[in-house]
Amino acid sequence: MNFRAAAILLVFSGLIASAQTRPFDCSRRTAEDYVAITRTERVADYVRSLTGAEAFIYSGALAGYDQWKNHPKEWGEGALGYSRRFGDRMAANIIGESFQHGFALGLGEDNRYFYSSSHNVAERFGYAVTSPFLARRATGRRTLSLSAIGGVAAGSLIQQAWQPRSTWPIRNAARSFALTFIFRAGFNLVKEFAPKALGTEAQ
Amino acid sequence: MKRIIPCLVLAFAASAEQDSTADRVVQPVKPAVIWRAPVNIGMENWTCGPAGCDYAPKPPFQFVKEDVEGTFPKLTVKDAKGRTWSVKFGGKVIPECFSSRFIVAVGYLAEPSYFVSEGKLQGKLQLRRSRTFVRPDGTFRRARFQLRDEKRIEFIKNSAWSLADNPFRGTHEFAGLRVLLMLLSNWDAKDVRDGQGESNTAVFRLAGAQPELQYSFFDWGSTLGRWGGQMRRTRSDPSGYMADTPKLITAVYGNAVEWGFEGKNEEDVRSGITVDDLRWLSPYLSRITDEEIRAGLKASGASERQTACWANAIESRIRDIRTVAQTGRAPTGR
Repeated sequence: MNFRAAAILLVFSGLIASAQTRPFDCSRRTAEDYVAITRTERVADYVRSLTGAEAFIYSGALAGYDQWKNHPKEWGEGALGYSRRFGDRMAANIIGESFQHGFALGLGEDNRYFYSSSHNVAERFGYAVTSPFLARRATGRRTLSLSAIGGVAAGSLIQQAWQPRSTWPIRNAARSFALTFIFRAGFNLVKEFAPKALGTEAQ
Repeated sequence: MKRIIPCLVLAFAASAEQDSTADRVVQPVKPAVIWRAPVNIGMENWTCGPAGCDYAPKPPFQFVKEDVEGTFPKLTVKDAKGRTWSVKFGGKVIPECFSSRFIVAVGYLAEPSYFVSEGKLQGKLQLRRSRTFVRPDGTFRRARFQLRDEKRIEFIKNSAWSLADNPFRGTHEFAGLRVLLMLLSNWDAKDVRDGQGESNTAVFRLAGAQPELQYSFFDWGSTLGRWGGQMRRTRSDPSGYMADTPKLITAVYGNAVEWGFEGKNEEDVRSGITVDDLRWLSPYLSRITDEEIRAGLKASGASERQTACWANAIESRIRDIRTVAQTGRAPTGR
């Protein structure tokens, strides 16, 4: 076994051991603490999704990825290109979140992220990655999130209205849709395992 | 004619008043109170609530009606003993069940609330808002059953009172109630100024040989979470409750105690509380044991982890209050 493999094994075994032996964790609001969302909380969550730090970090990260891939190429590189992409992602986020919260209200879904109640690293990983596609009902039961899928789809499609002509709208919307969920899953992983890293915590 | 019309109006009003008072049964009542020395009924208060285990809701439950007013879905249900219950689900379940036990243990009035982990409603279910909590076959999980027994405790309609102006202002007993609001992080301190229908303050008539009126704060569902404004506050949130715990008492200036609490009518809740008030309250809080708090939380539906988190935080808050009462200084580090 080489040195790198041994180090990885050591870190993982340490993580698992610490996760399994830790006493009750009172510092985070976990899935076990879930209570049905009220209308006031929906409004607060909507405002937070548009104006909170996470909205800016998330749009900034997506814009960074687009910049790296130079997509769309008409927007060019450098600060001007990045600011266009950032504006594009912010606008898509505002539209997507608005549709998502509207659908969630109508369907009685709750898309807020609560930390996993599990102490098992693999279970927590699976929980964080699947959470973007799942919503909670009033009883806490998790089901497929029609509001999240519908909201992101709406945001991705409307986003095509201001995209340069070189992009093929449906393919570009599908790309944006997939990227949004991949980034949401990634952000959930950061929230789950390093909650302070984003400067914002789950519910 | 101009003189006759007002006279007729006055005469009609007078007769109407006479009619309404004649309908009422006039009962002698003791002067109103806001607090009574707590009767220690021991562990039963914590496991079964202030009305005791005999009063616990007994299945089968018969659906009566759904109350469509208020923020939360609410049902009226009758149990096997014919008692009427107000049933709620969701975020208010643990806070109301636990808080009713806690505030009665200190001497304040609360309507008995029980946690029912699961059950089934019988009868023709005509549900609107509660459909999310009650399945079509009538089964439900995790409900708060609050006793509605007007022969024991009668809620007097339109009796909401103000936290800023009431007969108990300046007394230890009223200060004690406000400390409990903060100790349990009750951010929903609405009073008569928020409207009679919206207020969480009211006067209750207590049955007995000589009926007694008791001022009460009756809605403890918005507790055990983070206090604050609309963007911050939560209910039934152990981590949020724990995070606010060190900020309960922020400073002590002479006899005046400063609090970190934020919520509705926050100035009227936290202002004017003195070290002497805490000296009065402290012995009643100190009588509550760690075992009782944990038993109360468990009986209210809290998991093992939630019980540990809330119990530690509540005990820490009680310790801080006791420290100020004993030393006249803010807890260490503040």
